[in-house]
Amino acid sequence: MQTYRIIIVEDEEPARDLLKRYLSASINIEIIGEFADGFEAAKAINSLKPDLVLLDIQLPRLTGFEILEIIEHPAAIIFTTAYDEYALKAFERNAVDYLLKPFSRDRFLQALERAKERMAAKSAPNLETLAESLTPNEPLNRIVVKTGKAIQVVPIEQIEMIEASDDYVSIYTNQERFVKKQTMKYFEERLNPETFIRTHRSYIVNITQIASIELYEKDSYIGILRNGNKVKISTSGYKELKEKLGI
Amino acid sequence: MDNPILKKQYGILLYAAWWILVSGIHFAVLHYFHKQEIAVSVIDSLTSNILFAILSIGLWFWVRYSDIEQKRIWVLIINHAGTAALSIFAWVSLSQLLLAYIQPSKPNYLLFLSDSTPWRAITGTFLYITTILFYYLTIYISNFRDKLSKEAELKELARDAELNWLKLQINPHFLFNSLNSISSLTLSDPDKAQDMIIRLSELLRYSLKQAPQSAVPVIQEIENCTRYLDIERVRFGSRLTYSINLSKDAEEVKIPSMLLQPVFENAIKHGIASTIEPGHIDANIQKQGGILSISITNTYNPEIISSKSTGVGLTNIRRRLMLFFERNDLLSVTKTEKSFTTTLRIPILKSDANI
Repeated sequence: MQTYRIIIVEDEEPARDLLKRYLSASINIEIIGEFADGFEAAKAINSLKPDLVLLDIQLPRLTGFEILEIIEHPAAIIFTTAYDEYALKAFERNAVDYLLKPFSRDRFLQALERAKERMAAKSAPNLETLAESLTPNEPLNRIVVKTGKAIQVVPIEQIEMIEASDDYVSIYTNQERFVKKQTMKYFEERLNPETFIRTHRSYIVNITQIASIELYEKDSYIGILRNGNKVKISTSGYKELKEKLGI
Repeated sequence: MDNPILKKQYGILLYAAWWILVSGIHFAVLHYFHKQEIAVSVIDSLTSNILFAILSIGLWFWVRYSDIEQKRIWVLIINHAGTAALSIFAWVSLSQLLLAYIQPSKPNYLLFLSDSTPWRAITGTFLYITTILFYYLTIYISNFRDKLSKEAELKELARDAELNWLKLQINPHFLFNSLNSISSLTLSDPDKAQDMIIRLSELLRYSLKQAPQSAVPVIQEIENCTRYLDIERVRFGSRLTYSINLSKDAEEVKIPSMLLQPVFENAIKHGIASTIEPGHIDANIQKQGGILSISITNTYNPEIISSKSTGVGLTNIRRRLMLFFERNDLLSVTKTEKSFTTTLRIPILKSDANI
């Protein structure tokens, strides 16, 4: 019989105790790690490759949603959270279950059974769609990226521009460039529209970074940033840019 | 407020219709009772009434100036009697001059014209009264409508405030996480679970008891915040320590109720919940002249970038202080390398009454 390896991500000790207590009667499971910090949890999920993660959403340093954005290992996910409005969306997608605190032992074991079935069937959840469907449509204050093994948190005010390339986007800061699997639409909807403008199908630019705008060819423009980087500007993007810059 | 006649197209049409009616009567009286010729009667009627129609439009400004609700009634009567005398005098002489000028070759009519002065003055008085009554009625109706819509707006505001008040009292995140802690403690440490249920009940009872816009002694608020912090200590364990220093002479000073808990919630959110390192919250409350100074400081890790913009939690407190004291300079924040301080400066109320 297979043993399922579980990681608990929960920052409150009594809540962690309860999960362990609920799990203690279950056979063929093994708790391979407990984490109170989102950052450590994301690293551990990538390195320990658990079968199942019990994931809280409000966590120190990284939220549960942000963890999902950067983990590569397709673990089954059960959310355990006190209060929010994303439960329905999680069910529509691939979260195994969504437990609202406080939850009973029976309710927990039911979720665990569901997870075991999912794991036995080896149907890997699509983590990216899960992350995207869950991320609240709230303004972003930071973006979590992975560079090699390292996880980095980038404050949005450091972003100069975002460039689309196939399924990915390149995020440029003053010194660095990060690649993230995400859509332009995602950023367009969540970045502050006072600062960030989608100037072109493939570009979002931080307007405080624009040094000059030049005519490229008929009806199309090129924006030159302070550090010399260039962004394409379409006709409609030019209109919006003119409005925001007051020119 | 603009002249209600000129404001809308149908206003002008109705006004024209009214004057056509008046002119018609005027004409009929001249032609049938005074046996004037048709052409003469028409010209007389039109000249006089067009003049009065123009004069009436100007009277609007006079009516606006003589507000029924602001001036005494006898001042109003004197004002209008004066204006009426002046404008009727002007109207009668002007129309008589014009009419004599237009139809000089009819001696019969000229005679009639000078004889008709008293009658014209009486008609003028009647028209003057009709006009100002119409204007006052319009103003009254429009004020009444304004009042109705203002009342509806106020009711809505009050309802919003009440809803916000309820939301302010119970932070669902805190409530459900606490219940989850209790759920865990019932299995591992029933005594502690019971203790926490009691604290939570006291906290809820306190917040349900407070009416919006009421003031309570700061010591009660602090006792409540202590309960809140003790509950949070069960959740966060050794991650949270706190100290509160309330000076003896400040204990009975009244402050808006439920003002401080959100400040502590904010401190927990940014100083404790956002890091696994142990954090500390320190509160100092003392009298400084006519001001109660409350400062709440939390440690924080400067390397951590919050997932949401900071300061949102304090907006509500700022709004409440604004509602209560009508000042927006009572809350300030200061940030150092490792600590974040929220300072409230509460004017000390003279009376115990609710505001």
